[in-house]
Amino acid sequence: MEGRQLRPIYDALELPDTKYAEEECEKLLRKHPNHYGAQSIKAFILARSGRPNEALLLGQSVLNTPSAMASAHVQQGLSLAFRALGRPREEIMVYTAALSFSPNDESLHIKVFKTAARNSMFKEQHHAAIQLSKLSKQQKYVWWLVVSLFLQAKHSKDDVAAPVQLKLAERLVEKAVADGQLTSTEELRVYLDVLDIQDKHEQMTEVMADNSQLAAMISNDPDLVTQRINLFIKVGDYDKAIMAATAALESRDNWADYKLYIEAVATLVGQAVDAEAKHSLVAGISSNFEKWAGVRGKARGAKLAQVALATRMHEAGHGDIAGSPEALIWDYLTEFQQKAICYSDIMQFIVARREPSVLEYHQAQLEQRLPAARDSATNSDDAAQAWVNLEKIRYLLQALMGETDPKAWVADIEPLLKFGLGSSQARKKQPSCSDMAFIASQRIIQAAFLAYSAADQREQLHSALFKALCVLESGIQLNDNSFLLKLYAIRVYLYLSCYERAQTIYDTLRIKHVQLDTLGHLIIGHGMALGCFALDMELCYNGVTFYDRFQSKMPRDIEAVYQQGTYSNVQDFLEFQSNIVHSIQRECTHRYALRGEGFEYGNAKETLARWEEADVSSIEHSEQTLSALHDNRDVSVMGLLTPKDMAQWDLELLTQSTPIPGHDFIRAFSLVPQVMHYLVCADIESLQEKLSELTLVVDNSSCRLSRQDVLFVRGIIDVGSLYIQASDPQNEIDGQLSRLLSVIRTNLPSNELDPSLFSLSSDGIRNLSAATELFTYMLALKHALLAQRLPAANAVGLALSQLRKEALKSVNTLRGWVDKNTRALVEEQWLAENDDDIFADAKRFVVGSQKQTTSMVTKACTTSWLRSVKNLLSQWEKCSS
Amino acid sequence: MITIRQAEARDAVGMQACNLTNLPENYQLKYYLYHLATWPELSFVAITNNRVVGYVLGKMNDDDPETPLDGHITSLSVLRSYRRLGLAERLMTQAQRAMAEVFGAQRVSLHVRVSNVAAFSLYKNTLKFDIKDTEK
Repeated sequence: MEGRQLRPIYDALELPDTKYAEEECEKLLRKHPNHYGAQSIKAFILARSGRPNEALLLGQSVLNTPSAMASAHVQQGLSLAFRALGRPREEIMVYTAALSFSPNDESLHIKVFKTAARNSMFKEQHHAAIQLSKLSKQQKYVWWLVVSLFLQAKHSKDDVAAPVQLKLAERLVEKAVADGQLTSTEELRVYLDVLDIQDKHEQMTEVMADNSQLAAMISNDPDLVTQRINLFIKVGDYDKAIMAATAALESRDNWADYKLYIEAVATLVGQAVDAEAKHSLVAGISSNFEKWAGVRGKARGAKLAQVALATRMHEAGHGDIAGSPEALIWDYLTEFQQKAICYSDIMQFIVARREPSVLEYHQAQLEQRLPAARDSATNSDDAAQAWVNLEKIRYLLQALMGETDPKAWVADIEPLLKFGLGSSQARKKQPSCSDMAFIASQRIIQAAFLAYSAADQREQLHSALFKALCVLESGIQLNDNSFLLKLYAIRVYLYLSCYERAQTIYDTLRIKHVQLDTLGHLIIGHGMALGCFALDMELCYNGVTFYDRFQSKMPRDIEAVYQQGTYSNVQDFLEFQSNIVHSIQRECTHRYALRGEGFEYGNAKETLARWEEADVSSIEHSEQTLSALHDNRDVSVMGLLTPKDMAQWDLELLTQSTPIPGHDFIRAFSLVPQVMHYLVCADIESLQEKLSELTLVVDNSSCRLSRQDVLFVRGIIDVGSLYIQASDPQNEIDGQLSRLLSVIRTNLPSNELDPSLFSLSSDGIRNLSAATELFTYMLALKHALLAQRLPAANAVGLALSQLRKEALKSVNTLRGWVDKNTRALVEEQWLAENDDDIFADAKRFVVGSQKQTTSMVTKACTTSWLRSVKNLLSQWEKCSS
Repeated sequence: MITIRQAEARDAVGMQACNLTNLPENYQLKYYLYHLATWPELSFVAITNNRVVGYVLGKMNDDDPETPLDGHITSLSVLRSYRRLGLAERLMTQAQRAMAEVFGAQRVSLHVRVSNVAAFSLYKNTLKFDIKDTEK
C-alpha cells in the first residue's frame, strides 16, 4: 500500500522532474500528514533542490521517529537525503535504526560499511566489518575488517588502541595465510602494509623470502620485487638487497631498482674497512652495469646507472672509485645525445657537482662538441636532437657558473632561431626545432630579466619580453603541438597584461577534468585581474563543476575497491580523494568564482539579496583547515632548464605576473564576502571582527597577495569601516569617504597625460580593474545604507555618481587611445632599430623573417588590451548608482 | 631514468595529461579510476623525475561469464620526448604478462587507428598481434 501511494513520486523522480515529484509529495502529505515515506522522500527532494536546511530538519524529524524506520521506503528516502546532504553520520543512523528491526540483514550492514568507507569513518567502518564477518563466513569480510583495522590505526591519535588494532589485523591475516585464504597480490600488499606500519621489516622479509609460500606471487609482481629490495636495505641486509637487485635487473630495466642497488653498495662501501674491500664492491656493481650496458633495451639505463654510481661515490667521499662522474657523463652523452630524454636524464648529475673545476671540465667538453653538432644538425633528426641536448647543457652551465651578463645569454642566438624557426626542418614540424625555439625563447627571457631587473627598467623588460613572445608564437605557428612554447606564451602574455590571447592559447592545451586542479592556476584568476571577468568566470565554473562532480563520484570508486577486493587501492584512493577535495586550487577557484559573482552587475535589490543570502559559514577557514590543504599545482610542467633552487634563473618564478595564490588569498577572499554579508545584514559586531581579521592578512609582512589584490582588500576594509562610521548618523564620514574615493581615482586612467605603452602593459589595466571592482562593492555599500535608511546613503550615492562620470570619461578616453595608438607604439618602441639593444639579433630575426607572426603578436597584444579596457568600460556603464 | 610500476590513483593526473596530449580518444577521470579500482594489476605508468611520461590502461573483458577471460588494452600513450626508448613495448609487455599471470587470460585485444603507423608497427611487428577486423 505504501509503495502504491509513493509510486507517482518515484515516477516523477525517474523522469527526472524534481518539481513535479515535490508536488506529488505535497499532495500525499496533505492527505496523510504523517506519511513518513513521503516525508523522507521530500527530504531527499529538498536536498537535491538546494534547500539543505529544510531537508535536514525534515530528515532529522523522521529519523527521530523510531517507528518510522521500519519502512524500507523511509530507509531509502532518508539515506538518499542524508547522502545528498553530505551527512554520513545521519545516513549511518538510518541504517542502524533499520538494523534494530532486521539485525541480521547483511545488506544493511554492507550499507553501513560502505557509507563509513566512503567518508573515512574508520571506527564505524571497523564495527560494520566486525558485524559482517560474524554474520557471514565470506572471506572478503575478513579482509574488509583487516583493512578497516589498518586504516583506523593509521589515522588514529590513540597510541594505546592503534597497536592493538594492528596486532589484531596481523593475526587475521596470518590466519588467512595459514588457511590458504591469501590468494591475491592485493591481499598480500595489505599484509605487507600492516607489517610495515608496525615497523616489522624483518617479518616482511620473511613473508617476501624466496622460499616463502607467497614467493611466486611476489616474483610475478614487479612492484613487490622492488619493494623487497628496499626492504632488505631497511633491515640492513645489504648483501641480500644486492642479490635481489641484481636478479631483478637481469630481467628488467627499472630505474628504481638501479637506485636501490647503488644505495646498497654505497652503504657497504661506507662500512668497508679497507680500500680493497671497497674496490671489490664497486668492481662487482660496475661489472654488472657494463654487462647490462651491452644488452639491447638496457644500455641506456645501465650507462646512466654508472653515472649515478660514480656521483654517489663522490658524494660519499670515496672520490673516483667508480670512475670520474664528469667523464662518465660525457660518455653517456656521446652515446645517447640523440635521444630527447638525454638532457632530463643527465641534468641532475651535472647539477650535483657545481665546483668550478668540474663546471670548467664540462664547459671544455661542450666547446669541443658544440660546433660540430651545430653544423651537422640538418643532417638528420638524431643529429638535430643531439645539438638540442648540447644547447640545453650550455644553458645549464651558464646558469651554474652564475653568468649574469645578459649579452652572454643571447650571444649566438641567431643559429638557434634560424634552425628552430626558419629551417626546412622547422617547416616539417620536426620536434627538435620546437625544442630549439624553446631554448632561444628561454635565453631571451633570461637575458631580459638579468638586464632589466631594476624598477626603472621595466619598460625595457617589457620590450624584450615582447621579442620573446614573437619567438614563442613563431614556434607555435610552426608546430601547434608544442606544449612548452604555449605555456611560456601564456605566461609572457599575462606578464604584458594581455589576457585574451593568453586564454585563447590556454584553450588549445585542452586542459580539463583533474588537470584543472594541477594546471588551472595558469589562467584562472588572471582574467579578473585584467578586466575579463566573464571569460574567467566560465573557467571558474568549469573548475567548480569538476570539483563538485569529483566529490560526488569519487566515493563510489572507493566502494568499488572494496567490492572488487583491490584493497591496496583503498589508501591510495582515499589519499587521492583528500588531495583533490582539500586542494588549494579548489579553494582558490571557489574564491575566484565568488569574486566574479560579486563583480556581476545587479540592481539594488539583487545586489543586497546576493550578499544577504551568501553562505558565509561554509567558506570560513581556520589555520588548521588551511594547513591541511594540499597544493597539487604543478609548476614543473614549465620545463625549467635549470634546477629549482636557483631563483635568479628560475624562469617559472620570474615570469609570474602575480604571485600564485595561496593561503593569504584564500583567507582574504573568504573574508571579503563575509564583510559584505555582515555589512548588508547590519551586523556591526561581526563586521568589526571580520575587518580585523582582514587587516591582519594584508598587514602581514609576508603577505603574498598581488599589489592590486592588496589595494582591493584594503579598499574593502575601508568600505567596511566607512559603513560602521555611517551606521551612526552622528558620525562624520566625509574624510573617510574622500580617502576611499581617492584610492579609486588614483587608479583610474589619467585624463591629462597620454597613457604609455608601458603603463598599459604593466599595472595600468590591473589597477583599473581593481578600482572598478572596488567601485562595485562601494555601490553595494550605498545600496545597504539606503536600505537601512541611513542618512550617509545620499552623500555616498552622490559621490559615487560623480566618480562614475569621471571614470566613464577617463576609461572611454583610454579605450580610444588604445584603439588608435598602441599598434603603432608597439612597432615604434618594441620593434624599432636600436644599436644598443642587447636583443638586436633576436629583433632582427623576428622582424626580418617572422613578419607575419610579429604582426600577429602585435595585434594580439593590442586586441587583448582593448578587450580588457572595453570590458571595464562596460562595467562602469552598467554600474549606475 | 625511467621506472615502470603499477599505476596508482595519484597517477591519474599524469595519465590524463599523456592521454589528452597525444590521443584523440580521451577519457574522464572516473574511467581511469574505474580501471584502477577493478583491475589495478593491469595498468602501469612509466615515471621519470616524478612525472608520468607514459602509461598503459588495461582491463579484462568479463562481460560474458560463458567465454574465457580476454584482456583488453584500453589505452596506451607515451609523451613525445620519451618515444623511441622502447617504453611502449615495455608497458604493453608488463600489462600482457599481468593479464596472463593474474587473470589467466588467453588472449588480449586492442583497437588502433590504421593511420597510426608507429603504433600499428609496434603491435603488429614487435608485439606480434594479429589483425582480427578493421572497423569502418
